[in-house]
Amino acid sequence: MLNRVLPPAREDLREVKPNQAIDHYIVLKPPHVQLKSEQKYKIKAAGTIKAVWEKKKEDVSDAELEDLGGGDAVAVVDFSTEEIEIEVA
Amino acid sequence: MAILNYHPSIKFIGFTIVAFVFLTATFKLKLITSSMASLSGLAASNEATAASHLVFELAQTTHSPPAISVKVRNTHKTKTFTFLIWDTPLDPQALALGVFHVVDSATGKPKAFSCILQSWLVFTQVGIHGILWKSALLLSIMRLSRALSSKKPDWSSKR
Repeated sequence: MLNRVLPPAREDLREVKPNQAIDHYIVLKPPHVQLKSEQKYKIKAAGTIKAVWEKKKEDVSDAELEDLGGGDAVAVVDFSTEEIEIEVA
Repeated sequence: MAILNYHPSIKFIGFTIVAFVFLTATFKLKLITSSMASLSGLAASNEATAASHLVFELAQTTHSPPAISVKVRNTHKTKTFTFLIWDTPLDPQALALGVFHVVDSATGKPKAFSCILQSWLVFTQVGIHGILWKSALLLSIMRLSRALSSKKPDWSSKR
């Protein structure tokens, strides 16, 4: 959607170790999300990860980051989450 | 100029040039699209492993303000994965990008914000160049065809 600057910065990479997880928190706030209080909503996320490497973050080379501009060695992976119901107080 | 206005073969050449420009532009666009497709086609084995082992989970953390957590779990026993957060729930722009789909539980209706915002984003961030480029092309085509078909070579004339 957005015009991004290539190659991506290293801070835009996240590493997940085997059998581990990383957490991220998001406040569903305006202007992007306008949820009314005393209401329930169903929410899910879906899309495509633009690049996945089967290695540690430090092992992703600069060349591999630049490959995002149209190189061959970049794996693209679809993701989707279960739908959850949220309650706004 | 007089020949340009009256001679049909010159007209034909003019239109051929216009058509060529248009086709080249379309072809270039297709090339870009196909290079993006090849990006997803290769490195397939890596893709399959990551797809089955990177699991995204949502959970509500607070009610007011409404907040959620996103957990990215690597279910593989030995492999470490590194991924780009762009366009994922971890992207700082995730809400604006429409990564999340929200529906009203009572009505089942989707919240319109993501669609509106998304189209707005497409227009402002990406579309504006395309629109400018296309209108410039269209304008030159119009001017050229007008120049070719008009009976009077005088540019300042109304007809």
